[in-house]
Amino acid sequence: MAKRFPYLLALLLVLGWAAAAGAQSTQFTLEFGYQWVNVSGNDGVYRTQVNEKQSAVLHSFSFTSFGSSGGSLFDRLRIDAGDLGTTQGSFRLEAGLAHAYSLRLSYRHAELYDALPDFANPLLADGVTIGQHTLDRTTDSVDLNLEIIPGHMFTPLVNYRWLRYSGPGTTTVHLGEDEFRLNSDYGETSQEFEAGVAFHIGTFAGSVLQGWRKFDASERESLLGGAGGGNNTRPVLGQDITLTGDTASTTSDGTFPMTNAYVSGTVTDGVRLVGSYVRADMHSDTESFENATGSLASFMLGRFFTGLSESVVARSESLNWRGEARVEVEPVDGLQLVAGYTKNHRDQDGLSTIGDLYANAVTFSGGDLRNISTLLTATTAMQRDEDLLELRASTRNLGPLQLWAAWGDAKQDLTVTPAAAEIVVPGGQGGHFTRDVKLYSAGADLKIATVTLSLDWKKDDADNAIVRTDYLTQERWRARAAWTAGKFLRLVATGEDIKAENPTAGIERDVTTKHWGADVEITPVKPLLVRLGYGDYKVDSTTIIRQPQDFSLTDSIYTEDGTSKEAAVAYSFARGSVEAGASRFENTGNLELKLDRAYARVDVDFTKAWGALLQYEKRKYEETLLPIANFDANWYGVFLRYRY
Amino acid sequence: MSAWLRVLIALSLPLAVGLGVGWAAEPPAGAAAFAPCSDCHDTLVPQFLGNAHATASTRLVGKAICEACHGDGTKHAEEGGDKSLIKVPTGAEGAKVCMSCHHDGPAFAHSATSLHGVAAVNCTDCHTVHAAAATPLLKAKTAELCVSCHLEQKSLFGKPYAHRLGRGGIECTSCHNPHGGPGIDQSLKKTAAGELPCLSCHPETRGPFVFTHVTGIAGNCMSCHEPHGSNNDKMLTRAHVDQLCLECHTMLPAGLLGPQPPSLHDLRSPRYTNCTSCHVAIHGSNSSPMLYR
Repeated sequence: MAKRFPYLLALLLVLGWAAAAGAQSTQFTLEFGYQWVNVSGNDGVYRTQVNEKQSAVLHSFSFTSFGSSGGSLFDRLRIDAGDLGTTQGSFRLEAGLAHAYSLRLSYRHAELYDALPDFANPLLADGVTIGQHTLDRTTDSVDLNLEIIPGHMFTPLVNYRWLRYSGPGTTTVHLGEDEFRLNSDYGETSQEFEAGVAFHIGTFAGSVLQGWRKFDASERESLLGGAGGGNNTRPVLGQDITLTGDTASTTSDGTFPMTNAYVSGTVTDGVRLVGSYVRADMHSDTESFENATGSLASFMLGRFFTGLSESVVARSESLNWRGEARVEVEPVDGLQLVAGYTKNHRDQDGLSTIGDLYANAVTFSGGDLRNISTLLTATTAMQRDEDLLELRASTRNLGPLQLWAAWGDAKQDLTVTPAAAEIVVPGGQGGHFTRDVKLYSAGADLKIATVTLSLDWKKDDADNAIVRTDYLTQERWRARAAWTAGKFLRLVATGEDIKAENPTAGIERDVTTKHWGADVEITPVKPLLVRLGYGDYKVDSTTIIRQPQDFSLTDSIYTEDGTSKEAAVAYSFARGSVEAGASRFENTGNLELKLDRAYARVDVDFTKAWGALLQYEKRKYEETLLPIANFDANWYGVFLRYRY
Repeated sequence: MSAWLRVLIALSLPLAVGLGVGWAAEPPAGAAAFAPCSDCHDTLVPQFLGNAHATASTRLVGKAICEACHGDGTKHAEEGGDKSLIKVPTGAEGAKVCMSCHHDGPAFAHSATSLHGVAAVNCTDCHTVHAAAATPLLKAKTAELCVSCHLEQKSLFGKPYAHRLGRGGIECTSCHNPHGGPGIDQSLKKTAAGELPCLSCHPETRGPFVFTHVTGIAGNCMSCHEPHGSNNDKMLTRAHVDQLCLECHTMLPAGLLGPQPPSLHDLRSPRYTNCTSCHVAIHGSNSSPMLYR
């Protein structure tokens, strides 16, 4: 990214200059500079949470051009870019020419890093403080939306999306009754192209888009140096389990169609119809090869072996569609009635042909056997339907009090046919399941002078659960109050209470979430702003689980008790502003941690055109039970600004 | 082809399209077209000219551009700018004015019945018509605007493991549609194939897979992850992976989906409390029924 930075900067300047040349009015801001990062403590945790890096940065770019006349390429152009050169950058362009075209183009770059000491790390207690599953990948995406002759009876539409996700990482493979750490190199590119037309005929408007998605993914894996001993250091049936080599490659691809349609229209005064339809007929084809050598065991085969060669050919198909029809009626001004029906359907089939060749297989008692070759064809199938009926009534513009209420009925129908190879302990792999959820909700919104009060309630009642985390009843209350006292004070407070439960014997699931927060902004004198914030977050969740080793029952309990405190002050003066703030987030419960943040920002204009921005941010993270995860990071940025 | 070359090619599209159709276009409205309103409201004109409303209204001339939203301004002008004599569209009445044009596209088809719509959150609560701090005509950047009401989400984003709101184009509107959408999860911005927005940026979890896990069957990404922010690694809803898994994978009572792990999974060994050490392809696999690879 850093190498590309100058090219992008040059491109933005050229675009800006070209647009400005013929424009009646332009606005241009360029902010560029350099950022430094200093981390003490666990760099992996810092990068997983924050991932800032030392680099040249296009901190901000904004260009607006409008009002070009006669034969120009556009009468409206806006370019925004931010943080290009860092691990998270974006670019957005909007251009248009009245009654000719309208274009939106956006680009996003994100560097994703993940290396935690304790995530899926069975060796943490042995002092191995970097987890086995890490990644250092990048995502680049481009989105393009083009409307040709917008505002006319028919408007052709073209959409394009390109996404690339790639980079190295480490993972593990479970082989021969042990897990071994592997290097992984993953890359996936997907492209979506859509073309269609928007129409506006009489009182009806809509659009139809036909699209295609094409994707290619590949992953190559190899045994990490020094990882041949595996996670399990104890012998299995008297024999050490080791891996001397492992290589694997997997490629997947697919090209499939997608359809989107939408129509809405007014049939008579006060009656509006809306319909929409989405369909995607997805599939993927996969080929996978793996070769492993070592001293290995298989409980499933009841054998030791010294090598494995596996090949897999797989195909998965998934048909998704969703249709919706809705009628909206306004019998009297301010009262709206809505009836809607939505159906979601998903149909999935999977077929995998797996061939395994085991080398030098011997029984656990030492008897020689010929190589064991297996050919397993695994199939899976799943069908899911959901029907949702909704009725809603709401009042609007009938004085200071707005009311709404809704009723819904969601019927879920699910059939899962598992692969025979999947079954280890019989039961729970498949079957036919139904669930009917009745949905009730209501709310009120009161606005009197500068005070706004809102309250909403939602309750779902289900007759059944499909998985154990499904609730039978879930109820949510939410309240919000806002008060503005001229330009002196603004106060906002919100509260939320969610309770979900399934009291069925053997599940006894109970989840409570309570959350409230308040923000106050005070402006004692005009250039000075003080902001204080407080938040409180509590989660208490419990359910019964069965421990696999002895099938005994125990409670799975998860609790959070977090508070956040925040204070900030900003002062504006003729040539700029100064802002500083600090916050602390503390949590107790299953994971006790503390996160302190502080920031400062000085923004100064030297002249009408030139200015500078200085930024500082501190982040200090501490875990009580795992101090190895702690870090203390300081980030500094110095940026020069030019604008006209 | 490098990513940047693709960007350059994409950037050239507006130029190509503009060359192709620009000759046929009508000249856009200039400042003079706003007279006589602009005689007094001189600072509003350059602001307004820079946004899509100005260029979309080239069929209107003179004060008709302003009157499209503000109504007849003759008396307002005659009385020296009496504010009570001009319509300023706000609240539900303002929303009606906006929707008189913005009712056509699928983006706004559900706005009246969306969560915002029924909670009396109106267009001008978030948007500004003349001059905007951010696109599309927003009063502030979405990262600041949305959390000014949704304080509970604001504090979730302040947790250690969270999407970095406001950085690299990640905004509330990356995943949510503030104008609402169809179905029960109406605030989520689905992909063109009708999938959850998470899959737009996490393609490796998208599938379809032969051996699929939760997504699309009995639950979705939010069954295990807290998308706004979490105290736990990988933005999980639980601090311990084994408990997260066993809350579904416990065979009591029978008749629910989620098989019981075999007894060799001794939770007293760290090896078995970290389920994804072996079941690495936890989102789905095309080659391993047990999600080993």
